[in-house]
Amino acid sequence: MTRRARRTIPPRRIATSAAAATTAATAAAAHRWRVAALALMCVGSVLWAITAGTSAIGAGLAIRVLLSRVPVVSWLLPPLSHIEPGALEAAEVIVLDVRLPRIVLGLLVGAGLSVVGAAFQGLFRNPLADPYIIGASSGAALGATIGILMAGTALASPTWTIPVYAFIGSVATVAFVYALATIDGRVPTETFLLAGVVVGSFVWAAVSFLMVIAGDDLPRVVMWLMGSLSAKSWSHVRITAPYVLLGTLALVAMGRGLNLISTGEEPARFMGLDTERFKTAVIVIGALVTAAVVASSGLIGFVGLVVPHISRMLMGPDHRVLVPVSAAGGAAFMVVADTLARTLIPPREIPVGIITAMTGAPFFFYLLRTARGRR
Amino acid sequence: MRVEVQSVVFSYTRRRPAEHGAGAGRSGEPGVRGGGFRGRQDSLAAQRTYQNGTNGLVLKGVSLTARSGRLLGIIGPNGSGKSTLLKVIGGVLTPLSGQVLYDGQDIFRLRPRETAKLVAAVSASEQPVFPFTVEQTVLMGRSPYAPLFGDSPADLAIARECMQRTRVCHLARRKVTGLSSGELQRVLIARALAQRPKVLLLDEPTAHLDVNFQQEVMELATDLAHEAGLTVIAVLHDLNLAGKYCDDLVILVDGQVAAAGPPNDVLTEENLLAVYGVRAIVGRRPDVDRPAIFVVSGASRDATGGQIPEGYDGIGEGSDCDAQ
Repeated sequence: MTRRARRTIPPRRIATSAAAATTAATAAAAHRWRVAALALMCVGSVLWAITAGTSAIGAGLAIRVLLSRVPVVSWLLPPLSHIEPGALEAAEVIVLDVRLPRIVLGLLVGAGLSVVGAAFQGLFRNPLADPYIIGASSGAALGATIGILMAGTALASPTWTIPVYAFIGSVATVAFVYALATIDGRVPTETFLLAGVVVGSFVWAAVSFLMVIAGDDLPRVVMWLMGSLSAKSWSHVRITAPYVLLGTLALVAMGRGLNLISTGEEPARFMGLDTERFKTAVIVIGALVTAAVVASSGLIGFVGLVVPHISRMLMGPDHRVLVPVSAAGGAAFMVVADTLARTLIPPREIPVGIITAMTGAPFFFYLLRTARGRR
Repeated sequence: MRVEVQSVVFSYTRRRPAEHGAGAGRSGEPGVRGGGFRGRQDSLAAQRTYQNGTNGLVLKGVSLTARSGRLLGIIGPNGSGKSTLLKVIGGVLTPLSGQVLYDGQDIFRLRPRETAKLVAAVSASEQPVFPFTVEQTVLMGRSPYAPLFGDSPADLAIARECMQRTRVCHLARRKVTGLSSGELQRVLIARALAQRPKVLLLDEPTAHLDVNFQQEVMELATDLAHEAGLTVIAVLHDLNLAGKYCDDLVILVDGQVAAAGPPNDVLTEENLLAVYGVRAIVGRRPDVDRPAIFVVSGASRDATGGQIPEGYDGIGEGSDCDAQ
């Protein structure tokens, strides 16, 4: 018996079974303050975004305008004093029609990309997977480029051209990848990833070709590819919101299945998961959410890769926690990044994709280094 | 729970071979004899599929029976279809023909969730990618029973009990990505037990383990069979371990049952020569009345002086390049 005891208990970590019995409880308590911090971060980022900007609107006034639209709270607001006539109306337009839709879209885009990234990383058992890995980005790029080049022709109505074309391009490409990877009614994950990469490079080549012949439209194509939340209206929010909200809810509910499939398809199957159907469901939801996000805001990179990764380092790999935390974290990160994008060097705007990469990458690197030390 | 495998034919290409009975590549039964025959070769299915070695069939009409309270070992050369057979038994791979019956019930008619309440498996190849804790990993075994959100106290209690069973409680908070092979193996067995299965499938449970862990895992497997009354089916490579611990053995060769019965009847010098192509001396263990196997030499046709029995033609099809 002593022989066994010496072998099975590692030298530095001796835990009594009584202490071990409370592991689940202590882990939950440790998570609780992190979730609270995250919620605070979300609210804080939105408040900062609504008050920051180039127009001279005081923070107090901006928040007051926002609160005046909230039922119940608006009755409790103190009466306005010493404000110039017309200033309130101008502030209302800027806060409610310019900043707010952009913030809400930022929340949706950040949440959508991060949730899909978290789900795909689990599904593909690969921490380097992101929402774009299965060809969604290249397809959207092709669609958007075609849309931009055809602007003004009969096939393209002015407002909706780019989002609709990008959405169709994205979904069609993923569907093609899926069909390509289907063998005997099953979709082997490795084949699927490979097909995504191959089809992606082919479609990117087509995009490059279109860019060469784009002529005067080239700057618009390039700007779209970099991804931006500038000049977005409530209509953009309206097309993106249903996909992101429903998709996030669905993926949160699928957390346990994601846990199982992240251990491998065969073990997941042995633990009672209908893996083929589950895979299809995750891919379809992920593709639709990604397409809806990309359609309204272009290709914003790095969020869908880094946010789930950071969330996993902070909260652990349990997808029932990881997916909602990624949603909140991605939403907050995106709003902060976009606010930086429009306030750093006024009046010029930096494409938000540049901000997400330049802030996300170093932080990610830092976490990677420290996490390795701890392990 | 009694598990009956009835003339299972399986191919990874999911296509029925076009030419039944065509081609005259290989004929004749492998030259092996078995004892009590819990498993037996289904001659009809064998005749139908045995003709053409290149038709992609991995299992060519396998029949066997596993009973509760007994540890059934499946042995055989690499590529003989052992792991595939285990997956078919577990309902993960659907055979082209044949049945797998659990107390008479067809496993392929059950939903995956219901299947997982009957049968659990520990695969040899599972490598954790994400740093779940040991406790979280074992809790995953409760998935077939779990509510949509959260973990019920009952599930936590069962997970803890299963961790005690395989003695991994002290690892509860450790990450599975940082465990040794032996620790991981016991964690995965605990996870399988958390499914509260009636049938437990172990795919090479002793691979990569040191001698001590090997004994421990095999003792655990026999305990689960003899004391907990589970039907345990294990694919094994170590013939001495198989001979010592298993109640019944089945030798699988090229997708067919070559011999079946108690270890003393199955692990004979003739069978080992015929199946593995090795010359071995089979004696008695000094501790228990079970076979002890000493491999003398890995035989080629030359080494045994042309003594290879008729049924043996090397490992797979590749032993004679010139003929192809």
